[in-house]
Amino acid sequence: MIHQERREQALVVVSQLLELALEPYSLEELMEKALQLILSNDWLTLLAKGSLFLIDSQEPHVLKMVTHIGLDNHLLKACARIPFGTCLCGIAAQKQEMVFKNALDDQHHISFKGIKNHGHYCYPLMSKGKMLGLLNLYVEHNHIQNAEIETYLTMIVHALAGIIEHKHAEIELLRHRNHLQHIVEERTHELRQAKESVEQALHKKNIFIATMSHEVRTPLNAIIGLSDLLLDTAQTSQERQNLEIVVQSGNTLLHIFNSILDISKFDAGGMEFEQIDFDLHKLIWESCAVLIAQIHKKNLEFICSLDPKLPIRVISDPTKLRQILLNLIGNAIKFTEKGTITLLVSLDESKELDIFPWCLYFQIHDTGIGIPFDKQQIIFEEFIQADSSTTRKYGGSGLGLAICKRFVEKMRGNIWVESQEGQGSRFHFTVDFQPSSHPLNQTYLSSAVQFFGLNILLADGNPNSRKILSRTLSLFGGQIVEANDGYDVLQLIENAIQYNKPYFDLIVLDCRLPKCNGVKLAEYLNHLSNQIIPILLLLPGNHRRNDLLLSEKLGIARTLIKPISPLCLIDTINEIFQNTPLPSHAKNFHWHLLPSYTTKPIKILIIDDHPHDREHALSILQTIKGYQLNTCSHGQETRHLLQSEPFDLLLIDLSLPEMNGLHTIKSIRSGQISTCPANIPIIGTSSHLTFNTFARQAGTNDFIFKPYRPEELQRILRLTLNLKMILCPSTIDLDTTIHSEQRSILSDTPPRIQIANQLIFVQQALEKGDWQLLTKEIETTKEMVGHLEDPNLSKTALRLLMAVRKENKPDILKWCHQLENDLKK
Amino acid sequence: MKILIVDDEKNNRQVLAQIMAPFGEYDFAKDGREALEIFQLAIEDKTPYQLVLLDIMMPIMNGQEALFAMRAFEKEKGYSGSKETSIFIVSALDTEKQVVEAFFKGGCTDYITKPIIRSHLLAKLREYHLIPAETP
Repeated sequence: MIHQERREQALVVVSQLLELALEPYSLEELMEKALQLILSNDWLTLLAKGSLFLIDSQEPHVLKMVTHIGLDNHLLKACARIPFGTCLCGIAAQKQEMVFKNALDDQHHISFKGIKNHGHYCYPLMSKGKMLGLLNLYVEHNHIQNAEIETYLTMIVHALAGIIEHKHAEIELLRHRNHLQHIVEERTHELRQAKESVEQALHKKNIFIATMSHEVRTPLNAIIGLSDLLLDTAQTSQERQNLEIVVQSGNTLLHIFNSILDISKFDAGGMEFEQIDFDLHKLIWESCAVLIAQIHKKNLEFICSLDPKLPIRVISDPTKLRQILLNLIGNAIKFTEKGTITLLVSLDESKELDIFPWCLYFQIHDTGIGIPFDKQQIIFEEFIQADSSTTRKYGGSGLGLAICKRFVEKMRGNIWVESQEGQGSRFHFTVDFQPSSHPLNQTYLSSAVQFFGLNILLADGNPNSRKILSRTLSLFGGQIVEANDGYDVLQLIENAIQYNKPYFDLIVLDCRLPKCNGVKLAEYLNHLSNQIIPILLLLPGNHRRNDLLLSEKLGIARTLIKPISPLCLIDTINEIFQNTPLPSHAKNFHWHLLPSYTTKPIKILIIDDHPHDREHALSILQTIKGYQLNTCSHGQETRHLLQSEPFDLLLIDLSLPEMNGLHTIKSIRSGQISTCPANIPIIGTSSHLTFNTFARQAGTNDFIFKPYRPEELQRILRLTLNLKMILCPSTIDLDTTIHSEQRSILSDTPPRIQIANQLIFVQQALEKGDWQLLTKEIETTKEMVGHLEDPNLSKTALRLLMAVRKENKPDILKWCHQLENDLKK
Repeated sequence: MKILIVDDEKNNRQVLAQIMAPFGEYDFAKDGREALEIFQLAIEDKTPYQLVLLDIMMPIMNGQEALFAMRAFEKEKGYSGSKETSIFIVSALDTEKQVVEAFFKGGCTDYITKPIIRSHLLAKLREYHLIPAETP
């Protein structure tokens, strides 16, 4: 074999050895294969005999045979363990260098009788100066040492040493891994045990709480029950009041304990969820009915809208659903001081509707304090309120939402919140349900009679409420015209009459309409035409009995009490038109003012610098019975007249050059003319086309261009005056809408006048004897006074507040008067 | 004796008022700021309160802040030392030692826990000679 070929073969062996190392063999297997590989090469002029030794860390100076090929049986035992220095192998290992012999000699310690003469190559396997093992090869007796072969053997031995080292590292790694795994297993076991013991403790705790709650409820029931009984026989109002507090506090405590019981029962897995066929709409309305009293107490608007596509009956757990609703709406009421609470219920249309179970989607919106973004997640955890500081304003256990979340998730739904601080919150939740198999199960849409083409004037000041009513009405085929306030209603009807537009078949009128009182407006509309338009009057839940009686007396077709169920609304409209066919639209329509509206003379002051124009107005208005007229020009004369006698309406010319008209209006509106009410109806007139905007900005109620025709002036006067009559101050105390409306009118007036006006609200509340309202009004007064930064006024306001806290009526009157007097200084 | 009862819960105010009614004239405040204003007004009128019963957890300004401000105002107007008002913290908060210490440092006279038990409250007030001893 020529030199080149040998070299190549040697390289092949080395690469084969290295490949071996990549196989998943154990070290022993690897050594066996390596030895076979080495001895399979005939070019090395070796005998087909040899052995491989390794050194382990326990005995670093002993060679241990791991594999051999063709070794004589006599040698196997003796060569299994060779201490360093013994025999050729031991000597090579001790010297850490290769030993070559071509015959047996006295260094060949291990021998047996009849051993055949032979030679050896003993190569120590070393890596980085560390002995790893030894390769022992046999050669023929008298073998001639060959440098070339030795070179190749050295290469092979290096590769072998590399393999061993690599394998060692691998073994070490494996050992570490196993160790690690073992540790992990141990820890897991410990953790599992800890978890089990925690679960056990939790279970024990839940059982404890459950027992405790039962134990607490027993005495609590006695306290509430007996106090309730005592209420019947309470002698003094003080006794009564105290007992009421006991009952109320007892109920609060009971509620908290019930919540704790629910949570623990749920967490202990003891809460059962039922599948009952029930009337969904009834459930929702009954749930709302429980909370209506609270809503009215806070003077909030409540809107409830059920999608007409909702089935009437469903299968789910009504008790839990009711509890979730009560909780969420209850929260909305608690955290909302003014505005609206809305409940929207629909089918979750993001889910396929032909796949069961279906999904109900509930939304509860409020206009309350809202929830800061970083608190929106944690409020669903138990025992957490968004505000937990010591200055927090709202009490409560913080369990309500935690319970809701558990229930909703158990009913295979989701609950989440959207909110912005100060803007209110929107809680959403979904729950799965099965459709009912009840034979009467329908949706609203299919159950109600429809009324196509009915012209309906819908007047509601609350845009949300209006939107929902409008949607329901139009879904059933109604043609809706919407009105925002009393003024809108009057104008729409005026227009309808004037331009002979199709008239309305039905007016749906909210009693708490801005800029007027709904009942009065209804009364007025009823007298308006010779053909009566049916009116459906919507009363707030806290309506006065009088309103209801009055509306009956007025012959108002129907009244509904808010919140209004869509089904109820549709039924009522169907009822109205049950006996009369849908009306053909009125064509010849006569407008007339009823005499009762003109019994008291209406005093009008015409202010105009042009004598001709004054005469013109006078001549138009003189023809109408019931007006008492005065005229004057701008300036001192106007001031005199306004201060000397009260007027019902002013007609003011705004002409150039001195802009006197605008000036007069401004001083009236800012309350600078003491005897003239700042909100007196004012109609502006001018021949300048651009002046109508000026006039509105200055605060006129209406505007008319010069020259005007008699009917035009009459119409505008009538509209403005009617509005004023309908705006009935005696009902202000109940109608918050009007309340806020009036306040907004006042917002441009100077603070002192505003406070003086606020004191009127205080007095109204005092007359009514509503302490809660009175407290609220006086708190507002004190706040308004605070802005003036007048120490004397502030003191008086504080004394007034102290008086109302003590519910001391004489003191309240005293400080009210004092404050009034102080304000005038 | 002039007494100022400070609590955001009307029911709690009522309970305290009825307990204290036999011992003097009382006024109410429903939060810390209101209490402070009334307290200051009384001093300015030279008719300071002899006793303030002060809740801790209240909106707008809590009891602790009100307490500090009241003591500071007394100092400013020369009503400190023997002339200072007895201010009792009345709270359902835990009576952790540190919390109580902080209140004493803030200058409160003593600390009473809720729920209020009439006999306990009266005993405490007797301890400070704010109400006469019980006649046997």
